[in-house]
Amino acid sequence: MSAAVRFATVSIAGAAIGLLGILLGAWWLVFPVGVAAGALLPRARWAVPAGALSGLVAWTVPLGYAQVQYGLRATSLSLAAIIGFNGAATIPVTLTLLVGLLLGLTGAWLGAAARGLFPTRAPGPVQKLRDERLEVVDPVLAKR
Amino acid sequence: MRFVNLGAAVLVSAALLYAAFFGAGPLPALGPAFNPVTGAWTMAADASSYGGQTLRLKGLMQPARVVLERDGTAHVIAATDHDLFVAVGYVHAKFRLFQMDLLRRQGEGRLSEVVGKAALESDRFELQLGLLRTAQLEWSQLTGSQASRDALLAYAQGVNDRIGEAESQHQLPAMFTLLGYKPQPWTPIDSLIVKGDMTQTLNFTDTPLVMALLEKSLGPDLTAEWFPVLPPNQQSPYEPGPYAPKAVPEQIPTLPVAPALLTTAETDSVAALYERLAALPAGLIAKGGESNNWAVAGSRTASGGALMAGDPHLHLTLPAIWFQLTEDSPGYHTSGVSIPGTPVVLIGHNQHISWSLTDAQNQQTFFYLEKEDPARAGQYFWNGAWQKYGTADYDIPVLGAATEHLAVKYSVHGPVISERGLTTTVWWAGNIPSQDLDVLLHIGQAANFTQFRDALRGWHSPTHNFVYADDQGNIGLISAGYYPQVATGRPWLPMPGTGEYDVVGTIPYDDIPQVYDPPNGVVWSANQRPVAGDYPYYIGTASNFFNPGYRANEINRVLGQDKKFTAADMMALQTDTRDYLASEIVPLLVDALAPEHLTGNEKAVFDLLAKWDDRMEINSSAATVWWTFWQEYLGATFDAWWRSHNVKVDRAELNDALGQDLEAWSLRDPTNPAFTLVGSAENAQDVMKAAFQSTVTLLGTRLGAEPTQWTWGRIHTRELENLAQITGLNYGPVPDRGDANTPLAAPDFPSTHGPSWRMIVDWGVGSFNGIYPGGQSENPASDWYTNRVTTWWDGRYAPMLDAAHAAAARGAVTWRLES
Repeated sequence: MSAAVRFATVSIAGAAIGLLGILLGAWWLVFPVGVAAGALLPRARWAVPAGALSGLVAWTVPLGYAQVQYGLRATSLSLAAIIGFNGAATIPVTLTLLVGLLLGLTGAWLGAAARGLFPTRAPGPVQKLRDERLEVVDPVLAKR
Repeated sequence: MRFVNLGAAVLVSAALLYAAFFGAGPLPALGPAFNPVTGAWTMAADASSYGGQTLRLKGLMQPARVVLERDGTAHVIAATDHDLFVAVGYVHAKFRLFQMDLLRRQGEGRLSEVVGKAALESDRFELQLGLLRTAQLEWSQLTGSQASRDALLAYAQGVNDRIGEAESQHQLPAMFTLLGYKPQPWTPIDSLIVKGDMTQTLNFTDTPLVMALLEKSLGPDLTAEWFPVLPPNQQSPYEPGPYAPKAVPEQIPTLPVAPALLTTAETDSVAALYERLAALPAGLIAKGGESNNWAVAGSRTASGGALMAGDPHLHLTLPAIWFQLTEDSPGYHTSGVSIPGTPVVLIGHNQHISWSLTDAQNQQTFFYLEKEDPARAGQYFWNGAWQKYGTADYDIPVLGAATEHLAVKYSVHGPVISERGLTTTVWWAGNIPSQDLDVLLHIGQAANFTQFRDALRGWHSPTHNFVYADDQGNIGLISAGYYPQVATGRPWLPMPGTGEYDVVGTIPYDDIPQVYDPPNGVVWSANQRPVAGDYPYYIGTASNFFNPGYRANEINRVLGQDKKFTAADMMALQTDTRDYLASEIVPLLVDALAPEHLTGNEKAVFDLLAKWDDRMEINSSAATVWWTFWQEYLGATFDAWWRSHNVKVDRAELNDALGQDLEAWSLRDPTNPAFTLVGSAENAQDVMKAAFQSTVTLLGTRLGAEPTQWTWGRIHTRELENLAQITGLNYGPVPDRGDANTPLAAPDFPSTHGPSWRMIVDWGVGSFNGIYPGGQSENPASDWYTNRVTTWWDGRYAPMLDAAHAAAARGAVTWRLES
């Protein structure tokens, strides 16, 4: 399986599990999902984006659904006022998505960092190849 | 390197998880708060959940209905009285659960548990004052035969049905999520606490402490002259007499078991307590009311039926203190406004009578300085013997800090509320059980004045002026409640607690201020002193306890006109902006100013005043001049005295009382010695001229050179404040008309108090109209958070429909409630 396919698989699975957690009230589940992504994917440069993406998607989908179902502008303005950013409706949305993203991202970072302490089996010494060309008898030269 | 990476990851993860689970600084716990499914975002779903539906309430015995009008007005229709109150509890909690929880926490001293140390002093004070103890006592004294017992139980069931539903559907109000707690089950005692909150806001005063500090600094003679028992100005009592001779005070059933000037130690104790009370959050101490009500008999109306108007003036909040509803069951057919947390209509009408109320403002708070001996710890001297203080212990949970233990001590007079210097206790009528909810249920069932009056016999505190009108053209007014009488002494000051000065009873019910169908065909109250100077009982001093009377005088003036009144006249009077005090003083000022000696802007300002109609309208520049002049006049007259006598009480806090003096002196005693401390001034005219000049200078500096641009709306605004003190959820400030003296009351800058509910009843045509500023829902994302504000602001009304008409009205929805 190529690295890109593994990245996509982990991201999609992670987002699905995280989303399920949110629906059941376990909003924090995207963090262990990120940890798992970090542990499963061999390289951090794939693992961390996968964790972040799964967290972001898991938190975005229900928010998007609420926007379609109810419209969130009034709620977002109210939340902005409550947290001290009166009139800035985008801030609660940004903050919400940031929470999901960061939970997944830091989880993946932690997973990848922990994985780094336990590297897979180290490669043995490189076997020296014989350069058979040195043994080839050049018939032309040999006649000379 | 790998360990460094891991360490950094652990640290960042820990920090993020901490913020997500527990919050950071001002931020709430980010995870649960912003969870898109169960967090604060659910306010969007809640705001969309008011449509027609079928709901399950465990507490119901039979199906019930709730009709919601397009503006959110709720009509609860039930087959039994029990189910009515279950449904009302459910509806209140559906729209106002967080407000209800805040109100009960305030009275029970449990705010710190959810907001931290900032509320600790409020919690300590509330537990000392004793709202919780009083509510517990009231509940324990309710017998099975009293209607309010069943109503409170059913109401609590309905509230708890909603709490359970909201928790299971993740629809608790967002503020619970953001503050990170869940509401505890509602109990009948919580409802009684909410009632106690209102009693405290309206009747617990610190006036005796203020009077003591004034007497110490100004001296007894000046204090007695400037802050007299009877008002120095001309007022309009609604019951002018004649009065029955003074009778023996009626015993106050549940009472617990001429003084010299205060000593320095006593004054220090009073000052310490005064400072403590002054530092409490607004609303815990009554600071004078601003409410109106009146009625016109059928003989004086165009419709031939009685007219009634009521507009109680309170702190204007979002959500409002009021929730509008109609209650329909076999036993009740009432419509009006209720306070979320209580099951009854407080102001409204039934099929035969209507009623509204204003605060009566008589003295219900008395302070006692207890006599102690260092050799007798925990004891005080009373009635010739040493007595042990009673005690009650409380734990106050504090968010983010250790639980605080509070031990409250009691003497026979009431709780100890200060031990700095001398021990001070407070006798407060609000601490005596008063089954107000039972009274209101009986009022809701009354069909005539006799039943109305009989019901009010059980109303003890806060003392209110209950205006009455009925479908037979009759009108009345009763200032129901306790009027505590002391054995001897000056009750407007802190008194010795040794027994001689104790409260011995109350004015007999038949002798309290009241009228029924008076010959002039009108009754009115606006927090003025309800009786004339020859009333044989002490009910409070002119200072602070009663309003200066300008609104009452203006209402009396308008209702005194020889005409047939209509509901439209009543509406106009509720939004009347004529300042009665200005109508008296401005002519004096104009006379005092010689136009030929005025220069520049002074002449232009003089012209504005000379042509003014005394109305505090937004576009009136003269209104700005008048108000500023009056403040300058007060300051010019009294500030020098305040400085020379080192008075500790803020002079502005006493402007109502001092204004009555200044008004009376300006009109009838212009050479009063009070004017002589002002530079070279010798009389009122001299001080008026100086105040006028400083007014012109001040306004020129503040509002520019052109007097016609000094409009009232530039300096006078009104604001509806969010109950949780989230300024971003306030409405306003917006320029608005009126002032503290106008029937359309709008004191302060910005004004946050005013007509919290306006109701007009015309029994002749059977029309009922009402409006309050705000909306039925506490959810700021809901259309019903502020949908009534504009109508109210413009002085318009909404019809108060009965359930049948409401159900047929456009946009109405119905909830079917099933068990």
